[in-house]
Amino acid sequence: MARRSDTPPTAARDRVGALRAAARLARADLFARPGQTILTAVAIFAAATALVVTLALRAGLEDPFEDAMTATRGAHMAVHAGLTDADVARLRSLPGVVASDVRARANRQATVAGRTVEVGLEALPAADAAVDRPRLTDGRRPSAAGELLVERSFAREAGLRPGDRVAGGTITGLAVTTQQATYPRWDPGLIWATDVAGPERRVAVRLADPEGTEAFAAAARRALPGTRLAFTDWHHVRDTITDQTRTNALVISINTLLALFAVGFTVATVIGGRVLAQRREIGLLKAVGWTPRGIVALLVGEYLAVGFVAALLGLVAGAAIAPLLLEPMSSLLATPTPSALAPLPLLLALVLILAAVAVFTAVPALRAGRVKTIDALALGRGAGTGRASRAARIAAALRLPAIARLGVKDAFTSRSRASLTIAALTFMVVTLVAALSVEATFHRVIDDPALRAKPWDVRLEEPSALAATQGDPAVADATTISGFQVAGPRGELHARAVGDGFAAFPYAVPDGRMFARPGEAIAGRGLYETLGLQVGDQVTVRVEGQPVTLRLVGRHVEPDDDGEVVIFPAATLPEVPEPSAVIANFAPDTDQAAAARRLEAAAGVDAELPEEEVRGERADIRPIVLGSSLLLVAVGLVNLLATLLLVTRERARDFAIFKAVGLTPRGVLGVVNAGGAALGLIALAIGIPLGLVTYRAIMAAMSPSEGTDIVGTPGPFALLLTVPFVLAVTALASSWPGRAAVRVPAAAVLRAE
Amino acid sequence: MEPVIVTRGLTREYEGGVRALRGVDVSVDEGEFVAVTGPSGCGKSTLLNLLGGLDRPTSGEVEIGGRRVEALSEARWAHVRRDEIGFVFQFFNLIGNLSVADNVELPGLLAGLSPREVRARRAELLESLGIGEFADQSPTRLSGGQQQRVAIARALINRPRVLLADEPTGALDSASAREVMALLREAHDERGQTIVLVTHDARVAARADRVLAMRDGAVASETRLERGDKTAVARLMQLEV
Repeated sequence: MARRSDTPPTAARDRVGALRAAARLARADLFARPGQTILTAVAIFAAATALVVTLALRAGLEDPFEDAMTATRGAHMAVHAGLTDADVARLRSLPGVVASDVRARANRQATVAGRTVEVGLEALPAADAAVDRPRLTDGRRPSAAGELLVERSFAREAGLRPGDRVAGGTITGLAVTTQQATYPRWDPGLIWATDVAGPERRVAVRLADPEGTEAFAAAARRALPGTRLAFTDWHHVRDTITDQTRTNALVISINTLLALFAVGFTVATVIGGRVLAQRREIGLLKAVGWTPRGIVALLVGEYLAVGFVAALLGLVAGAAIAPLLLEPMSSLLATPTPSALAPLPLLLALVLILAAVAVFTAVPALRAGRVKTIDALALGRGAGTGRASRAARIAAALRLPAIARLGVKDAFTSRSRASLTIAALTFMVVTLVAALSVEATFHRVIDDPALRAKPWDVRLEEPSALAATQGDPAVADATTISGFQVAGPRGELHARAVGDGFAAFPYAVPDGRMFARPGEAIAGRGLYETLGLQVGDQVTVRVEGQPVTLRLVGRHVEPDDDGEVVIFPAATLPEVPEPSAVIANFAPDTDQAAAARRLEAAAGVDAELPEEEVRGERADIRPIVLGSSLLLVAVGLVNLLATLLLVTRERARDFAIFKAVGLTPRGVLGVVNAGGAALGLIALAIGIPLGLVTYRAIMAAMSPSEGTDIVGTPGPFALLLTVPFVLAVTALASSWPGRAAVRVPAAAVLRAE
Repeated sequence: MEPVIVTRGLTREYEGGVRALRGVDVSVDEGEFVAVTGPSGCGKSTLLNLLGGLDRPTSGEVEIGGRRVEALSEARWAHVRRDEIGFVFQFFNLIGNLSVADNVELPGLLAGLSPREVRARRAELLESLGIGEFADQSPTRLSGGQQQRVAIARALINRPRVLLADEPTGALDSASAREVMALLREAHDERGQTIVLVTHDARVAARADRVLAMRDGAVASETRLERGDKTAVARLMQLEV
């Protein structure tokens, strides 16, 4: 009796026994096929890496400007003027102000990279300034006189690095800020120095209600009557940055979305496929007394163990890779570089991967557990319908060699796995096509700056330079352009007036036509939609209080200001507004860079070349698009490798038979390669059109004002290049399973039941 | 008659020092029907695998049609099997996701026969084996005896010099086993097919012209059988003891 009382209760004993048995079985299973275990781990590792990078990128996209505002404690409003201490005190105590900071500010000419440009020199705020605290991204904060901190986009544009000398000082670091948008769209470039003094002050405030900027401005004007105040509203900064970064954010969003899908498919294919291949073992386990629930628990536990180790390694790799993409992205989006080591995305990635592993193990395990034990034991003895799949019938109809036909048939032995692999490969193709479409879009915009609403070769922000520009031998056409606000039927609108000779600067007008005479106008999609107008309608706006009626004759492609822009000949207005810039087109075969330098020297200002601007943007976004595309290709490769290895294992008997009836090792390799190629070709057939349609749809959905107008389609040659690329990827992925198939020990396999 | 198969001093040693064959000398003449028999583990299947190149000998020589083949590469062995050897296995080893017709035609296509020629040969073979009506079905839907007939058709489609059969009746009921043996005998009698058949069943072995009895990896005895010898089975069963 005493011995009996030492024994644990039956249920508990059973549980301990089951756990011991499970641990032994799981260990045996994982070590019996180390290659497959490693591959499963590699697939989970790749998925986790891709997921971390993707989540980090997406976190940076969530609301990049908001992130930057938070990181820099950005001002809601800034007032720049010659202010006394009493003026400053008055502004800081206005209603609604919850925090403020004041610093000296002076604009000066400085020589940067051999050119004289205007820079905004500002007193370096305290490290813990309550408002507009520059966020250091490179180097260190200045700590002594003569040391400078440079705004990052200005530094990038001017080619400045820490250690360089500029404006009489030495750069010690770079920083981002939301007190102004990125250079050169917003100039002058900004430099903080420890020793700036002068009568000009900048008072930056944070408001209790960020939307109360207009009220603050009115109150400031009332508080300091007679003082000329220049305001910077955070809405304006945000709109400028967002306009500029929208395309980039859009492209990155598309890629990360695709990456998330690809990760899910990879885990589903690799884990689900392997569990399905274990159905016979599952039958054996049931035969020796395991319950279906116990089998599910065993398999889920086994794969979670592998998944946990692989996912942890993947998180480390992802955190290491992510900064390579995050840095260029943050530069593109004008935000501080987000950290790839943020605990939340890492934890989220781990949870997502483990949840995917559990689900994609449990579902096929449950299905396998429902197979009758006797049927499960009979699996692997050559089950099948004997009917050729559609792909195999096509292969037969094309009179492909027997080896190719066998390969095609083999690839479709498990339809569900073949479908998942095709889906994963299709995502890879869609990504490639999307990457090519991004290239094509940039190419199209570079070729036709009108698609950026900049139908000119060069722009000089110096209206008085018109005569000099017209006199330049390289200039074919030149005129002036003005940008100003007009009062529309439902609030303020952005307006542009083009001077005489506007016909030489045709905007891209997909609907209707370009304006041809004073009184006619074109407008962006946003304006039509906001005002509920159509091409052909009339709209009355107020310019300087005077009503002006415009007949809308076309819709132009307008990337800025949400498309709420109207453009018309300057002669439409009773009083021609002061031009803000000169625009010009060069004669054909002009050395544009040399001509631009000449015009800059004549005008004394920088020349803006739209083509150069787009080229720069393309160069910035390329590493991100290529990096994320390569990551997806790697994930697709692992997926295909896993699928083909599983197929090889399941078809070991068939390969042995092939060898017995005279298939050479090269023939066996050919069968496996043909299977991979068949899946790849189907993925190409689906992926290429799907990629084109998806890219177009996402562009339209995410950028309704201009997306479909600027979208570029890769040429047939570029699209055709995806075929050898994908086939090379599938051949690469097939080589290992192919060699495994060649090594199948025919004598042993064919003897076994 | 010229010997079509010759082995000299054939040995096969597995990892761990297990010696499955210990110097086997065998000669099989063109058109001969030889049965290899013996208890489990005596090495008879190992011998068959070495004759078909599915396994490699540790030492010794193998000649097929007067040509030394034991050192051939995998690829060259594949060509030998394709052109000169047909295999029939105990568990049929048909490919489940190919139809009966595809299974039978496969070696012919690999050997480079035209699809028309392969189809004609397949139709003739399946008809002669009494399974013509199942050509488009999956082999998994057929009975064991029918599946083994499909396997025989596959083995014969390239008109090989040698048919190697490893326990071809081992997975069949007695009626199916008798039918399969009748078909093999018919192939031998009517087409002069050379057959080497491995079996542990004395009644199956008794259908051969000559029986090699193996024990512990070597040929222990050799028995020539006359057609219609009623005592053959009993004599062979004595050999097994």
